[in-house]
Amino acid sequence: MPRRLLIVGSGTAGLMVANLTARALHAQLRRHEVEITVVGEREDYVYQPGFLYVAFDLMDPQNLTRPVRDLLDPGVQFVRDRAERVDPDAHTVALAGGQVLPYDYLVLATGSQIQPQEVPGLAEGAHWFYTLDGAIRLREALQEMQGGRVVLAVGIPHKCPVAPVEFTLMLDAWARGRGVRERFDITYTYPVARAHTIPAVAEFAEKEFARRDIACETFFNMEAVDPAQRVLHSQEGSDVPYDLLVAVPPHQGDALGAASGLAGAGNWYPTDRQLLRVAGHDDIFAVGDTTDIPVSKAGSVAHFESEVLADNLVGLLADGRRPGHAYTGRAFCFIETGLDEATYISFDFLHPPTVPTPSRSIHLFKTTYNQIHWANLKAVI
Amino acid sequence: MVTADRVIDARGSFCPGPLMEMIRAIKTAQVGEVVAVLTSDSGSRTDIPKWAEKAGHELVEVVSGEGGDTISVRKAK
Amino acid sequence: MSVTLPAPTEAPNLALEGVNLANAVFASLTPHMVTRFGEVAESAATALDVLTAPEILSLLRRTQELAPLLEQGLALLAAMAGPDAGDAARLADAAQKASLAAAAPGRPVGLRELLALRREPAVQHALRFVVALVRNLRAA
Repeated sequence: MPRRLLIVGSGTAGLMVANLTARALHAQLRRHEVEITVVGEREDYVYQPGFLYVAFDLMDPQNLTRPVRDLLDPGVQFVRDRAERVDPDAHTVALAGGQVLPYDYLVLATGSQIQPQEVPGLAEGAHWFYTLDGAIRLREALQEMQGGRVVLAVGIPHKCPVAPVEFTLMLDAWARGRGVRERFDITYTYPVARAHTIPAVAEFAEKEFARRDIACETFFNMEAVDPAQRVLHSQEGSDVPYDLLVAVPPHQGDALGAASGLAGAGNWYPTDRQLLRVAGHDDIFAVGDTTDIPVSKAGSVAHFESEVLADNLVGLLADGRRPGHAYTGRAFCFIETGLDEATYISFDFLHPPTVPTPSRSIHLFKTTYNQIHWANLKAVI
Repeated sequence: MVTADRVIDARGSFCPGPLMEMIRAIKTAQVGEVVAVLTSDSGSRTDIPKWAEKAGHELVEVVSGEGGDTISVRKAK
Repeated sequence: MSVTLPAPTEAPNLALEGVNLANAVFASLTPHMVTRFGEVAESAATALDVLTAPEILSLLRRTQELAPLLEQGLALLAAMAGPDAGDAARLADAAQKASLAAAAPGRPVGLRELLALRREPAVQHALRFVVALVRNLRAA
């Protein structure tokens, strides 16, 4: 009877865990001692960090998408369907299509999704670059815009914590490059009392905004949008008029969590920050955006977590070894500061981030990394 | 020390950080519930109370311990 | 307002930029990536070792003589395939028929020339190259 690993989610974390585990257990897979199955809702994988570039017409949407089957180790089964409910007592996952998949170990990698409906008027009045369709819509809006007031607003929680700063600085560079910067009025808003939750990033951003004539309004939490009047209202009583509102909508985890009674508020799974086990379950793990671990919701976090989880799963599946590899909170995020310069932050649970001087080299490294990512997904590098 | 309805261990969290974890938790809490955040960041001692005041919630207590502080806020509206 | 970015507050520093880039690269490496680089380097070194064995290098040089013969052979196949020469599938079909016909008596014209190619030294060297490669790979 093969030991079965079931992974729900075919995004970054799901694919990495599947491929890293499959690579290490090739022999066992061949001998049918181990079975690895990935359940994913979509046929295609989409490279989400590319959306920001699509908005500025710097990346082509078709280069962001590849079939999941092309990215999965041949030893891994892919079931294209939606997982509806986990039954932790029966150790099964029920799919929308009717199948019920058993597991010995379950990995929940269902990511996070925007919930624009949480802010009244946001869906009608705002643009965003957090979906491919949204990024394309924003690209068109920017291309048509001759000038005017662009306002950026941020909901909590959200994935990719530095993206609001990136978009703002890229917008500034983009407008300057077109020779129309003076026709734009750019206002960046943020929910806490500084420009970013990370003090070093806040300090960097505030300096850059001042240098580039970008208005910065802090302690600004979106309350509602008036799409007709084109005004954004904050919970703190501020009213900001806009010609183009670019929002980072608040996010939530997948409904599977609530349906299964496993997730807490926001549909995030309560997860042990070191071993990535879902609270109260020895055989259920969570990885990537979908956990409630106090780390960034970011691809790099999914990557660092996936390696740890895969190492532990390999031990469990190969010979029942108790998990001993721990996630240390590592994250690595590029920060584009224009169209051809970037910096980055690197940190973990013990070491806070600092922001090095931006440079073209780091931007080029980021550009290269957009391609390396595919090799990472396949566990080839 | 008050008994919180939700406790979040945000020690070692540099991003999103203890304040964001508090905001996130208060958002989904019921009015009257108490959210406690464990933090190892000394900045939280000023950040969180300042936010609570501005956002109109009640700062219940700040307890200093070995690993850091436990800051509790009651959702007021 | 300037159309270009305002002057940076610090003068550009190439050494600092180099250090920042190196730090960025190291910070971005995951433990598995480091292991994989080692594994990939080992595979690449092994492959290079196999491909650059003296025997193989010598055969590789000799197979350069193969090119015109390859062209000749393809031209003969094309003539046998006739109007279907542009279709790769039919060309392959013609090649298969030719090899079958080779065993039968009364071989068609053109086939003789094609078979003669097989005995050409360069073709023989190419076949020996493939054999040596396989042998070296098995040992790797």
